[in-house]
Amino acid sequence: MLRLVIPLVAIVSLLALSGCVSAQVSQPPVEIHPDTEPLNTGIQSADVRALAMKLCPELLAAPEIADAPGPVVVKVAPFKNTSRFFIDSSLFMKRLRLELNQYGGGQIRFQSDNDRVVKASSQVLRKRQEEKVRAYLKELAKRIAANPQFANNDGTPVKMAVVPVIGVNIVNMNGDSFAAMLRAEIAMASNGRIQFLMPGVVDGADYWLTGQFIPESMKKEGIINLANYIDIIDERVRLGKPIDTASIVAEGSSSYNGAATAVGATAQLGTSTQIYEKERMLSQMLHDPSFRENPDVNKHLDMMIVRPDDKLAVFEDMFLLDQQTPDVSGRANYILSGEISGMSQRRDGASSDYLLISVQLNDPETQEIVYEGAHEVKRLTRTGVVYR
Amino acid sequence: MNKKIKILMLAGSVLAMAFFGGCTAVDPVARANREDMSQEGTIVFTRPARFTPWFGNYSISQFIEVTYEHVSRNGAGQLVVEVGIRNRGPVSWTNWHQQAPKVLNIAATCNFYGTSAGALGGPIVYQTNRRTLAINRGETFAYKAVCPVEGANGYQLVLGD
Repeated sequence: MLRLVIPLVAIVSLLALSGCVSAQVSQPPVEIHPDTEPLNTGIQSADVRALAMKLCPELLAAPEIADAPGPVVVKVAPFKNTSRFFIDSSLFMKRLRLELNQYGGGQIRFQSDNDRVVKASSQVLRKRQEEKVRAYLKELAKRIAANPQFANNDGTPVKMAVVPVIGVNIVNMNGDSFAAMLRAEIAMASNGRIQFLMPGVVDGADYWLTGQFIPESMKKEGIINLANYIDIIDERVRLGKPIDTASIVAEGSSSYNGAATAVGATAQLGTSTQIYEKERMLSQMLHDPSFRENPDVNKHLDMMIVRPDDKLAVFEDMFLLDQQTPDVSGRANYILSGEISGMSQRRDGASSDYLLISVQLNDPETQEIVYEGAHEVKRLTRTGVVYR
Repeated sequence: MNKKIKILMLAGSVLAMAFFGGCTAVDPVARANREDMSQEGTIVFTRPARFTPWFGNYSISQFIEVTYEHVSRNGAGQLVVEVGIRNRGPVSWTNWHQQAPKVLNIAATCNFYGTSAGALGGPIVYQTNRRTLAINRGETFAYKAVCPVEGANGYQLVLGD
């Protein structure tokens, strides 16, 4: 009987043990607390956390922030690192910002210093502005259509011609599109009381619909694009002129002295004048690279309805067409900046480092330091130091 | 049935149960005793890794003493805990033979709670980082922790080696 029991126990044991076999796995990475540093070298994650956790309540308790009637807007200046350690110096400010955002209760707001956010914001604002422009053109068209000045007493339709929009101190912005959109809106809103002549025809018009691009800039602004270049080449081919760049530049520089074109002059002089202007601009573009870029300034479109007889603008309305990339730094109440300073000594393979990580809150108007806090640490490192 | 067989079968069953018992997917985690917790002070030292039942702890907690403990609220209404931690050297008879360290490195973390009941009152509303304090023999370290979270009323300073 014993001979039966022993194998039975062995089988039971084997069954039990077989369920407990663990798979052979590779050694997992060891996760350690961010307040510890097993290598004990230089600036540590514990320093980043210590600074943030020490300064967060102090900053929130500063009278300039705690007693402010509303949220305080803070712009972050880059951290300066004068110690011998290579680190991402923005790490301290990011951790402090996280802490302040988490526990500040909305009392402190930071302006983003992220280039991607600034670029995306600019795109969002541009889209919003485009929506505003579309809505404004509709509203403007309704106003023009309802204006009794643009209605004939005998009930016959008022004839309008569209004259290309010109730029004031800016080259070749696409104003014709907006003029065409406004033309269509006016035609729809007037129910046939205002009729438009075919584009390019001005004879017999009671009024001209035209406009000006006006950039908010003190310097000469401008862009020129491929379409204009093709126009220039087409026109020169038609006139039998050489199409090499040197000739275009030479003629462009001399044929047109650069004065702003009068409202009626452009239409009267016709396509050739526009080509000369484009040649001049092309000449300027080739000499001045800044002309190839779309200037980052507020651009207004001043739409005008002009009486052809005396070139008098009888109706005028200006609106913002393209918004400059907003610089919100002027709204900041305070500037938060910091510095990592260090003092190091080395002997017999060991190094001693004293680090002072300080943060300041400055008033941008007076440059006064309204708050200053710091975290200081001294460490002895025996191996594996990275020297600046 | 033979008595020997019965004993062997019983032994086999016990052996099998012992092996299968280790194969459970989860185990219940011990809950802290609330009565013990209620006895805890606002400043505690974590139990060290080494412990002997005859001579107690070989802990650096024996080298330190709290000289003051002050709790207040600052102008912004934040709870401020100030504690004086002194390195007094070896004074207990259990470590009379030990050389007291010239500099003590102890870690301090302050947990803030929403109620004055401390850990019994609920979750931690704010926890300071684990800060290493270097205290020279005979000197007192002025430890200060401020809670930026409004409504914090209790705290517990946890010291460790």
